[in-house]
Amino acid sequence: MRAWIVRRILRLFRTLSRISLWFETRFTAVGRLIIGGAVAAAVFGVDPRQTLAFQLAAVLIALIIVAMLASLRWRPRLECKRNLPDTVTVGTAISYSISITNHGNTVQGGLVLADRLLTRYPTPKNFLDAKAGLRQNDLNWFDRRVGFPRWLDLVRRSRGARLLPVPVPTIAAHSTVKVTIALTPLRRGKLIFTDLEVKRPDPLGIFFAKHRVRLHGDLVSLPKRYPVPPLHWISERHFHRGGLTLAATVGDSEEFVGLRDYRPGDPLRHIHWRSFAKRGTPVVKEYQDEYFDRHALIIDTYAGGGPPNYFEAAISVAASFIQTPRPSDSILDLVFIEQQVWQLTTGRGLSNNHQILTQLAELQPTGADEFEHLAAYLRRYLDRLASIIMVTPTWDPVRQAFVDELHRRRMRCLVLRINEAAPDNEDAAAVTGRIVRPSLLERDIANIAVPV
Amino acid sequence: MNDASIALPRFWVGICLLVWGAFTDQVALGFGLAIVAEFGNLSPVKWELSDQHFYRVADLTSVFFAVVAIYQFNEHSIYGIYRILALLPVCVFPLLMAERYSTTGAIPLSALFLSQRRRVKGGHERERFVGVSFPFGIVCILAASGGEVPEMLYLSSIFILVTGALLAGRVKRYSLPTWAAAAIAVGVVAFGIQAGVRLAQRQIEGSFSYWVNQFAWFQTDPNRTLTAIGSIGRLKLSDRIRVRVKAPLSTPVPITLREASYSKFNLGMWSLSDGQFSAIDPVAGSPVWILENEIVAGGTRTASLVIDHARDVGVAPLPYGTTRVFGAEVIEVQRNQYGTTLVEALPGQLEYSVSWTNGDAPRPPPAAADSAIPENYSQVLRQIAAEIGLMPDDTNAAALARVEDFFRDNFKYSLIQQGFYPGRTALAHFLLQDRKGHCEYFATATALLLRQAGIPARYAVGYVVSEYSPLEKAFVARARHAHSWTEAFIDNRWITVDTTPGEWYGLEQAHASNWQGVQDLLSWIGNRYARFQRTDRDFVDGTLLWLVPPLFLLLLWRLRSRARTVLARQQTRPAIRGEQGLDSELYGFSGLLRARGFTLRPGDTLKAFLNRNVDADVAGVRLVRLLELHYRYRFAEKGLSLDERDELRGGSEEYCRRYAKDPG
Repeated sequence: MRAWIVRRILRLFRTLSRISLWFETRFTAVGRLIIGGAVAAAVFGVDPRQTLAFQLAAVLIALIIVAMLASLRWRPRLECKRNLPDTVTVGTAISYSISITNHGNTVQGGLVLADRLLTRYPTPKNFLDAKAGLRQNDLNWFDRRVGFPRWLDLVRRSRGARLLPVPVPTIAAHSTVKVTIALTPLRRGKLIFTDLEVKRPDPLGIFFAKHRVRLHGDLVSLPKRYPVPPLHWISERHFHRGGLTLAATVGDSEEFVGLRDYRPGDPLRHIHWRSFAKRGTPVVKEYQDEYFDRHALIIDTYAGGGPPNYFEAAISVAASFIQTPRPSDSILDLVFIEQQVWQLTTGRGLSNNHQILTQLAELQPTGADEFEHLAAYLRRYLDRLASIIMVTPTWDPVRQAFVDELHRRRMRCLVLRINEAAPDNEDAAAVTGRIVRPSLLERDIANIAVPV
Repeated sequence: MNDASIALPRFWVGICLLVWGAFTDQVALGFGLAIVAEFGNLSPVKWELSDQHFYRVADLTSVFFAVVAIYQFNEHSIYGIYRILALLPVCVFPLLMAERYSTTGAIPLSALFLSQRRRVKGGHERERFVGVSFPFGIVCILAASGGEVPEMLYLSSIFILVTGALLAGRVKRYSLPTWAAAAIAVGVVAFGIQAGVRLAQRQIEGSFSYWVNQFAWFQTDPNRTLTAIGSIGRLKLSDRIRVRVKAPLSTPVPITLREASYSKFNLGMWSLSDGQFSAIDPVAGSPVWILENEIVAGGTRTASLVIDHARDVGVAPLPYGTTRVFGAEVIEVQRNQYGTTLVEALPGQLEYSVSWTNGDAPRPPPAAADSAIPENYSQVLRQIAAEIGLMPDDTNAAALARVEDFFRDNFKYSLIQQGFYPGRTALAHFLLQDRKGHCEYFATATALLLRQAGIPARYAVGYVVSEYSPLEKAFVARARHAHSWTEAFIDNRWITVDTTPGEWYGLEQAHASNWQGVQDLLSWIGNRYARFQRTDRDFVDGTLLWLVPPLFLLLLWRLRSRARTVLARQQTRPAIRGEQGLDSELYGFSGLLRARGFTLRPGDTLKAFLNRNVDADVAGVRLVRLLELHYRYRFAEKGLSLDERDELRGGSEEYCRRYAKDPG
């Protein structure tokens, strides 16, 4: 029954949302005020014997009718091109440009341009899960109960950014203008642009005629990062059998693993002269790295039904660590579970921080707790690691046991637990790991000063 | 910074305020506000207001609006909404001031909406600013609609104001002629719409009056009543309690409460052609009106009746044989020759007491209209008369007995009419074929048949009361207990003849709604509240006074920081009034007009009488203003200030001078 009610409510919200969007996109600010005035005048004018407000309603409704009729047909010959940056960061304002070319013979003036992002309406599960999220305390009882502001929040987050319409300079016939649009991402992940709307107001400035241009585009919004104080990465080189095959020039390359054909660019000192003499073609000796620093950054993707901002905070903390400078000969593994265990390696030419951050931007929390699998995977290569940084929005005996095991095995580890309730100073010593509060993320990250 | 600033012509808001002032008879106030508003635009000195200041101004506006709304609703009931409308520009003026005298030149959206305020304070949304000049202008134009102003003047004024506002923000893409063409199109469409609304209103009122009269809460018209004869489908009558009769349980039931009698019938409507109401003088020094001096034989009974009194003057349901009416709230009692009684009182719930005797009091003999048979029905009536054997030489009693027997033996009661018989054929179908119907069929047919037999007869409407409500501790008459019957003049006296089969009461009871209990409870609560308002007026005022300190504290709390306010308060001394304002000079003027030959129609209020007969303006004195002063003097709790009393006196004298010289 409850699910049925939620489905009905969401359907109602969706309809309201669409109607509201239509009014917002098709009417000018004056137009919207005129609609409000017409409604008020109609209410007060319902009894024409008491007031003449029905005449005001008539005038305002006539304005809307004439404006809509004047906007019925508009077919401009416009071509648009969107110039997007590669990535953006949540909460950081950027601007991008759109070029509009007028292929027609008429001058196009007074136009307004609106860019559109894909909107995915929340499912009942999203809607119910978000109840424990942000802003609940800012709402009154009715809004908390019914959840329309929550719905609006989810829709806004699904779009990823709020794009305000911008005026377009007059476009002469067969010419191009460039328009700049400001954008501040509201969430991490991919922002998908679907189309552009070029709008023309009617002579009275009330209603827009709309010309839609299909123009797809993607923009990756990276997680928000905060400055991490300089960390003293412990150097503890471990042997890596069959390790980094591409790390040919950095580190101690003394383990000979075999011979292979010469490739242009191979140093001459690696040529195996005897084999060259036997075969008549150059053969080089291949070496393998075996001793270097390797650190693991573990993200616990199980949010445990906690507030969504806990998981977002965990992603931000991890992203902050990824972009922190490390010794140039060390590598960092990002380890997490998303349907399977993933290990993404950065450093020493394998990948770069930007690519890892892009992966992190798309990471979603898992519905089931699979930490045991993650722990089992980590146990298999603990010997090769110099240190572990573990970021978790959830804490339970399983995680506690794993951390205890790490300590027993004298593994250097930094456990960062996302939790709003920080322990008192007296208790802090007894708590495993460090508490990072989502509301004070920047401050708590700045206070991390543990050698890793 | 300003998300929704709208370019407006210079002085547009000032002009809107002037129009509002002129149309609502508040020229000085409108002019003053316009000056203050426009000076804000011109003044080089501006205040730097923080968000908190804006919040306080918005809160002040809300509190001000709440006080005005509570006061107006308390004073004028639902009609207070129009008073509030007229005062809207004053209520929201502080917001306009905040916009015009601040450096931002706009209002933060969060000041207007609490939800937005929370979001901004919580850091979830950035602040957005909006201009309030254009909405304020629209509010002024809307408020002006409540004034007494010719329709075309209002329409043309608002057209010019609204299109003028849009002209300043004209999209430069279009030439001025194109814009003008669009504006003209707007004018034509607007004229069409408003004319259409007028027409539709008339049409809807015409067709709905029937339904409203039948099914909704209404007041009986003493001059006409539309029956449901000819309507098809089920006659649905509501369970709403219309009359409460507080009488001892020992009072014999049913009590028949008559509202009105009619003599002329045609096409489903009973009416009066010669109803003349005359006022009855109250017993000196007491709110008692003696309707009949002659006490007819039989015991006297008394009861209190509570009715919903919709207008100033309305029909009072009274038992037959009512000799006296008592009512502290009754202002005037009028009666016509048919015995229909009108009472004048403040609209709302009205309680009055009656005493009546068994048997009707003598009434004037019948007029020619009481014997007239409409041409449309004469053939069918002759046919029925022949069928039941009405002879010209029958005595009145014998004829009456034949008619009563005819209906008793051949007819059934029914609330359902299945066939559609337009116009006059419905009654013929009832008499000749169907022979079933509701009380209106029986009463109408009986009256016409009695007339056919030479007995003067009338059609009467009212209620049959026999249900006792323990909740109300009174007998109650519901809408479905409304009934009609016939009055016949036999042996030199009017008697009641009810040929409707007796099962009608039970049948309608059987169709009572399952929600009747709930409806009764709500009705009881409403009734108690109305009584509380009516009888404990001083207490209500006291209660409202107690609202002032908390509201004031709230205001202080909102303004607690640096904000400074100047409270200007105008003391008004109430004028010393005669008893209930009966010394109003407008009564003297009304008497003068009547003496000079102007006719006071039945049911005429002073306002209707004067509006019909005299100019709206005499030597600068407006009749509307005089009537407002008169009614306030007559009925408002606080009366008039000395200045206003002088204005009423002077204005009335001006009118008297004008019409004493020249009645035309």
